[in-house]
Amino acid sequence: MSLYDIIISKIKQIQGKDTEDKPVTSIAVSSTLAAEITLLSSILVAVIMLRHYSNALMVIAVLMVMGIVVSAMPIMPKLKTEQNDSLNRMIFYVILALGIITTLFYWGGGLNV
Amino acid sequence: MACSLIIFGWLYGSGLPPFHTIKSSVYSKAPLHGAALLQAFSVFTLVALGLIIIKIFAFLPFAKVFIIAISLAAMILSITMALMQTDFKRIIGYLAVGERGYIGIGLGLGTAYGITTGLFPAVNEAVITAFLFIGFGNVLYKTGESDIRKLGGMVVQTPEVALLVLLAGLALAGVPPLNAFKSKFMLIQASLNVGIPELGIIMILLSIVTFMTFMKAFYAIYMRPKPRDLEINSSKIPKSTIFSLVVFLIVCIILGLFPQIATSYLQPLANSLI
Repeated sequence: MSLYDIIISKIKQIQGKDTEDKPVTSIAVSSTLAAEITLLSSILVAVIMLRHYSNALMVIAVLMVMGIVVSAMPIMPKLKTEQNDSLNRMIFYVILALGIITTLFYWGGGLNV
Repeated sequence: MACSLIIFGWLYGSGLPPFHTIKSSVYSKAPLHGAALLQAFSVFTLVALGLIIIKIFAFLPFAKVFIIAISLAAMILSITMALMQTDFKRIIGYLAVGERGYIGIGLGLGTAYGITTGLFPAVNEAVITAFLFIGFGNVLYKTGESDIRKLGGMVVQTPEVALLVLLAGLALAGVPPLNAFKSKFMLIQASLNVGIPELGIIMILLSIVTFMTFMKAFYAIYMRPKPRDLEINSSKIPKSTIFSLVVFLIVCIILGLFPQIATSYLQPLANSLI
């Protein structure tokens, strides 16, 4: 199954069972592809900023991001499913974010980074 | 700990991740004239709390790094999510949240010029996003529909509003001589001055994607043929709405041509913080 077919099936999944018979529009597919490319290129350029701290860390991070991206593609349909209006999901990510922020500042707030 | 908790409150008040879905959902469900005001309040909250965080916690280098990281996340996640939406209210909601990332990056750079360039987009985004919400609100007024898959042919119904909305979209994307071009240009200069060109690259890339997202919505609503089953209200767009859109456009053009009208007040404020 090519990447294009995977994207089409993911879009159909997001749109719900009642639209299974309707064709996926070219606008939807091109938007998903554009969002995917934007996400990957932005994350890769952002990870390159780690060069200010350590070149070795940057290389490892870039290789890890590329590995995760290749194995998890397509990412945008999954992100869209996760970022919906569900209150449970929102609360989960809010509590997760609070934990991460508190941990980062508590243990690393004094770091000279 | 204090910094982490204040930053968490700042993230909620301004709609940065992980609260970007909540804010965009609020903007999409509110009446569009209400959403125009709500987003302005969120921008002002972002600026007010951001300045407080910088003033109190500037001695913590990690605070600035975190502000830049979360602003990047806001830009990337929101603008990519906007591309995936089919409801134009959600598209503008996500674009509004994404533009706040630019403000956060300016504040996070930590220099006087960086903070000035962070505050200038705040002024611009409050105006441009309100412009877009009210502009697209006319589509809802005429059709009662916000799903771009069910819309089309609106340029024939409201050509003057279509032109104004197109100019609002060009302003959002940073096309000269409108105001957001100047603010994004200054932000890129500030990131180059600090020695982080990657931020400039990401900002340019996401500005292009913002323009692409807006043009997708504009094409779907205005340019493509009207669907047969789309019912259009025959009442005219109120003159007061057109007047307000023209006022927004004039503000965008004036701030684009004469940015010193805003930056002359913002620069002394930024200098006093450093």
